[in-house]
Amino acid sequence: MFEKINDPIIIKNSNFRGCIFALVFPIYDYREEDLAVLKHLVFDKSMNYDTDEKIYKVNINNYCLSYTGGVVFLGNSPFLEFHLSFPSFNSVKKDVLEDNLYFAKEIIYNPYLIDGFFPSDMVKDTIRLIKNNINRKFKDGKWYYMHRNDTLIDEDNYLVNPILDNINLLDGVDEKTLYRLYKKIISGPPLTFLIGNVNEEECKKLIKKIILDNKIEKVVFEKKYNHFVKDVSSDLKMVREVTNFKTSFVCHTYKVRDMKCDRDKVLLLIVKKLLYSNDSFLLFDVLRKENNLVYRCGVSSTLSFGNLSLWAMTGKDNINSVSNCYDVIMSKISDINFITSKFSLILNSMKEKEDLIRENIMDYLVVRIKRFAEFNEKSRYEMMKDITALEVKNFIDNRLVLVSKYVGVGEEDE
Amino acid sequence: MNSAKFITLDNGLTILIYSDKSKSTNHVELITFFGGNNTSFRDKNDLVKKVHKGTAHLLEHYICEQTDYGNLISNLKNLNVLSANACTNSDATIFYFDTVRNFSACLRLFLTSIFSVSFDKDKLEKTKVAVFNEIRDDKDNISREILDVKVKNIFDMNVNVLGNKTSIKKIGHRYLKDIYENIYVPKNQLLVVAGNFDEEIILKMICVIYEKLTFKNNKRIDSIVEKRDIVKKEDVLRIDSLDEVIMSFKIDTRGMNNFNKYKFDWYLGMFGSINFSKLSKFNDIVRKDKACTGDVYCGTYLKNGYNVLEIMVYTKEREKIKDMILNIVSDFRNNKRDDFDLRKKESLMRVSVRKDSIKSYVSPIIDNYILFGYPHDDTLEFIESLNYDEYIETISQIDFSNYSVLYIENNRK
Repeated sequence: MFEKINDPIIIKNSNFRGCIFALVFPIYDYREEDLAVLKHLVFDKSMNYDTDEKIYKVNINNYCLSYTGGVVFLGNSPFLEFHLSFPSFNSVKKDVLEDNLYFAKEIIYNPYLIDGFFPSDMVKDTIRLIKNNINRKFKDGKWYYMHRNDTLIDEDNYLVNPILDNINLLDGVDEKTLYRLYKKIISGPPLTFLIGNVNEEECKKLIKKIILDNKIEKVVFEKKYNHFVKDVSSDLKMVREVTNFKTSFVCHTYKVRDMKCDRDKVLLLIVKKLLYSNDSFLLFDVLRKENNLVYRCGVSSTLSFGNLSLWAMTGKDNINSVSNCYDVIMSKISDINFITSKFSLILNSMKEKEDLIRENIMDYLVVRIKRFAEFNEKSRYEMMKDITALEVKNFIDNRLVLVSKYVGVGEEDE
Repeated sequence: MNSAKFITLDNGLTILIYSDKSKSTNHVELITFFGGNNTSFRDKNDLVKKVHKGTAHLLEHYICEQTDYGNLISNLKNLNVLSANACTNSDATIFYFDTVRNFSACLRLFLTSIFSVSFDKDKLEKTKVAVFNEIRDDKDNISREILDVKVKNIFDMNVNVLGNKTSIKKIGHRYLKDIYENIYVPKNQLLVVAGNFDEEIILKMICVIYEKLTFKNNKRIDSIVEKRDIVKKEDVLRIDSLDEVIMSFKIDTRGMNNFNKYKFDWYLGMFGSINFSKLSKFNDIVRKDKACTGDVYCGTYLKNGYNVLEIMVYTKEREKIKDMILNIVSDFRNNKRDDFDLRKKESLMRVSVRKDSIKSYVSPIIDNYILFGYPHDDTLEFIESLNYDEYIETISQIDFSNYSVLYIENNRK
């Protein structure tokens, strides 16, 4: 369970010319279809700024560079998040935090309503656009194939949003249900964060006064950050379907037996990087360089779930060859010498990546929010340092189970 | 404060160099002005030679995969780069990498490899296989469907960058070598080097590398010649998507000098934002119209030497929306001074924070050079100099009669 008081978190950093203010509300009871629509509707307008033109004018006058928000998930825990960026005092010789906080308060807590609810036309339009986008996705080869594979390996609708295969669920969403959900979400205490070249004490006072009404409260929510796989059967699921796409698709998926902790997630990440990363490009080398079977290939993995999927797009005459190559590749990565030769490279890259996060204001803010929300107790690099090549080999040999093979047969060979 | 600067070497190579010791990452791009739309080139004897479709892209693959030192991307990854890749668009081929470690070694390897390529029939046939795979995969890319039709209706010079199997099969290794030797030359390139390094040392290194290279030909490729008029005034595309109107104005700025083209682009962007963006009165009308869905989208871009102003609305009311747009463009004198000033203020704000990231600072400068031939940064002084009277005068010069409309019709009806 997450349980902390919502004192504003200020991350002072004088390297950036911009600042970002972020606000996060946990979401408790919801339907997937409501969130799918809500994320496109929120923070659009307010009762005082009821046109885009008014919003634009106030943003310019406040030196607001951008603001946005929506629904984000950490694992299975959804949050309504809002963030707004503005230049620091040193950039524009003016302190604009207070004005922007008042704007944030207005746009979040005083949304534009008609007859006490979100505008009905706007909700209908949003649903129409979402349906259009989903229909278009199904016409895209790569998206379709990846979706079909995810559906095959999914458990409890963790990987695949049920709306994708049943867009009529959206018809059950209306302006009343949406607004009631939104009102419930924003009635709870939020977590607030500010990053940039700012005065910590003054900013904290302002955020408390304007956003939190000087009330510091406990924020409590269940941490459902992982949904580790349970259905890890060696009874292989084999699916082969003929499609109208030009290209064919071959995917082998492994799941991790007894997946239970962050260390397992890091081990899975290492395996993914051994297969396809800047430090080890075994999949690409075998499929493309050595055998010329593909243009595109890759490895996808949801660490909070525990799957590892090798995928490639190829001609229909090469399907079996690609499949055979996967077997070769998976036995190669189990070689302790191979693992040892790549491991230090992967470790160094991980450290470098984590160091570089500090140079991107948004990336740095996200890492700090996740840490505060107890999503990552330790950095991945810190965890990787304690892992040995032998542990990785044992993980591959004993805990990765091949659970499915999905093939989509397209029309063309080369 | 440090700023990016352009330097031209004696051999004609233009370098954009920017050193920022507060950052860890280094970014390098070699841009060769040879893309899908270049259908001919002049050799050292000034003979005009034809270019098969897909040649620029095939050559990009060949250079990546078949340098004398091996695969360029793999070799860079062995030096622990953060990323390395190459791409080809209709106007240029770009090789690039980003790295924290081993910057000098990476840069040396990058440049010496790109200029150390030998051409061999077997290697070329092997390279072609990946290109054939890419051509096949691209046919399933849904986002291209509307884009291809739209661009074909506007532009006469509009060659598929990837080519097709037939055109690629025609390309032999000697032909490709001839193109490489005539096109991959300093006068036809821009080298971008930005990051945490000593400027003098890196510049010296680049000069030393280029001094060792010889070029049989060293000419800038001829610009793409595009017809002024749009190809098709109106077209209908029936696909499984919401009904939509896409109106594209093709604007001729060929008579302007580089600085004026650059300034024009600023004014055109403001015009689009004032009249057709989500923030415009037009969008308010569209949002209230039950026959429309969602917001208006407006964008501007440059292609083949022409500016394009594009407006998109999800609607079935074709003629009504088309007429509204035409009325708005002719009514520009009613654009308010306050609205113009707001856009100017917004631009000042955005430019003031660009240096937070090397790429966000350098990318607009690259665009200024390539699109307008204007080798300078976007400065606060320049933006301050933009004014409403000049804006009105500039917009009044635009011929808005050269437009193409694409109607997307939902084929489920």
